[in-house]
Amino acid sequence: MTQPDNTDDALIRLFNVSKRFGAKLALSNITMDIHKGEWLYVTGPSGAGKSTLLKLFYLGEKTTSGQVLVFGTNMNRLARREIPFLRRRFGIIFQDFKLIAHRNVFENVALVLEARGEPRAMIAKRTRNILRHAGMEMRMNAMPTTLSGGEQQRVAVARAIAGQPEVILADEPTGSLDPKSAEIIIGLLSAYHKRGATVLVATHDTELLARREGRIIRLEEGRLVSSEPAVGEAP
Amino acid sequence: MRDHMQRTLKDFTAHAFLHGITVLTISLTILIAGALLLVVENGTAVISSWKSGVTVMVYLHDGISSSEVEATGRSLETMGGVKGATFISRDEALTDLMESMAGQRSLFDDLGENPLPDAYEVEVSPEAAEWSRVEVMAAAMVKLSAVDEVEYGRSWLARVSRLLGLVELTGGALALLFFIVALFIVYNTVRLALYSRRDEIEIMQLVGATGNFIKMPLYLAGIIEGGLGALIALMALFGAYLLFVSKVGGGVDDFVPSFLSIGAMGVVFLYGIFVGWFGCFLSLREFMQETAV
Ligand SMILES: Nc1ncnc2c1ncn2[C@@H]1O[C@H](COP(=O)(O)OP(=O)(O)OP(=O)(O)O)[C@@H](O)[C@H]1O
Ligand SMILES: [Mg+2]
Repeated sequence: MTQPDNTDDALIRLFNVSKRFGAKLALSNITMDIHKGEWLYVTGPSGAGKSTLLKLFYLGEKTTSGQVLVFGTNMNRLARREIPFLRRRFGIIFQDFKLIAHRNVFENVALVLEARGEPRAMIAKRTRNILRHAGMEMRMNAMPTTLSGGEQQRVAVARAIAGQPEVILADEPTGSLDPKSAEIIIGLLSAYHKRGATVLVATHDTELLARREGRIIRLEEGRLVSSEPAVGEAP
Repeated sequence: MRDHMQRTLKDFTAHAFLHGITVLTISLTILIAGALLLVVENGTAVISSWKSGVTVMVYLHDGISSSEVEATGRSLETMGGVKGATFISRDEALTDLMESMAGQRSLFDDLGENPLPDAYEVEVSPEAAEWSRVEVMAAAMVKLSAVDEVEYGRSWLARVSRLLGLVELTGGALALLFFIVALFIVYNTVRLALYSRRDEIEIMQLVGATGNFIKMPLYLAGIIEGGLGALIALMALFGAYLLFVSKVGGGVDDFVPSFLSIGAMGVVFLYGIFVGWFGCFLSLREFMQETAV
């Protein structure tokens, strides 16, 4: 597969997107498509705009100029009350985890399902399953602050997957982890990707990139400097 | 709904102290307002029972004809605010007087001619038994040609209605003050809860929780706190009332103060709930504006 040029299955499309924070241009004139089912790495040095790019997709930030189309909807025109429903189609792994400190592991993951108004019995069952899958079943009642970084990251992944979203946005999912923990995290994401989900990973983890599984785009000072096609199949 | 309730209760146990303080302060403000309401309700009852007995004595001139007496009676009865007029002849009046002073019969021995005038006892209808109106009515009565003098319980009537007016006014002002205090307390506890959970709320928003999902437990907490505060206040007020009645009850004129009517208790309870809800509403409106997503 070369640079995808058929746009029929574009899940997310960006046209001349720029994002400015005061005087700082975090993203500059970016045009790109993200396709259904692909595994995409977003890389580049610190401050290049990787996190900002991901935030545009779930309206964590709004563009300064240009258009972002997500699932065919223009993000500039999405009504505020629609935002929660947009976000339910994403599973987000945040660079800083964003686990609720005074809720235990189970509650943190179950929250995603509660917010969707799922029946209680189903919530308990699914949460348990996902935590078992993530190898965190034994720590279900632990508070996030008592977990190691790798364990917290696993809970974050479990939470991202819990709502069975179409797209996973993983911001630096292996950032501060040892190789073994990183392996577990990538394994979890990979398994979910195989079930048909689209996965976007923002990272400067060169080891991860060396595998060259999936497409890589590179940002530098907010500019899209290269977009390399995927070499093999996604992991 | 059950899930929202569960989340609310969880929060109650997690922040028991904060919620406890809120309930107590709400109940305190309601207790004071409720006590005033109790005073006003009983005062009104006393006044209206008194009012139903307001009479004006209309004394007639000496030596007027019986047709004039009858005509005067008719004029009095047709006057606005008059419920009825009963003629009391001078002889009847004397007999009554002598009976009421049976022990001092000798007083009447050298009375000679009956010194009492013919009179009408005019009963004022309860609606008209306001001090100012009775005053106007009396002025009109005294203008009738056959009427010599008019007498009514001016002093107590004026005093009591002025007093009750004062209680109602200060009570109203105090109730308003306490409403604002209670509102302020709820507003602030919710604010505190919101700001201490900023991160949690942000995370909820990020994982797709709707505004209602986030707000519901807070509203429920506010309503429960308000209702609970009102219940505690009513119970405390009832305790104080029982104590009061057992100590001094039936002392004055066989008048036993009654507790708040069912309707008034309902109003107090709804008031508590309203305070809880409204405090939440104000706080949430401010918070959601500040953290526009
Ligand atoms: N909310 C914000 N307010 C102001 N400036 C911001 C904000 N968010 C990001 N920036 C700036 O925008 C630029 C891009 O930030 P971003 O977080 O997207 O970088 P990144 O590529 O994710 O970096 P890292 O690899 O360190 O996570 C940075 O210069 C950053 O300081
Ligand atoms: Mg980043």
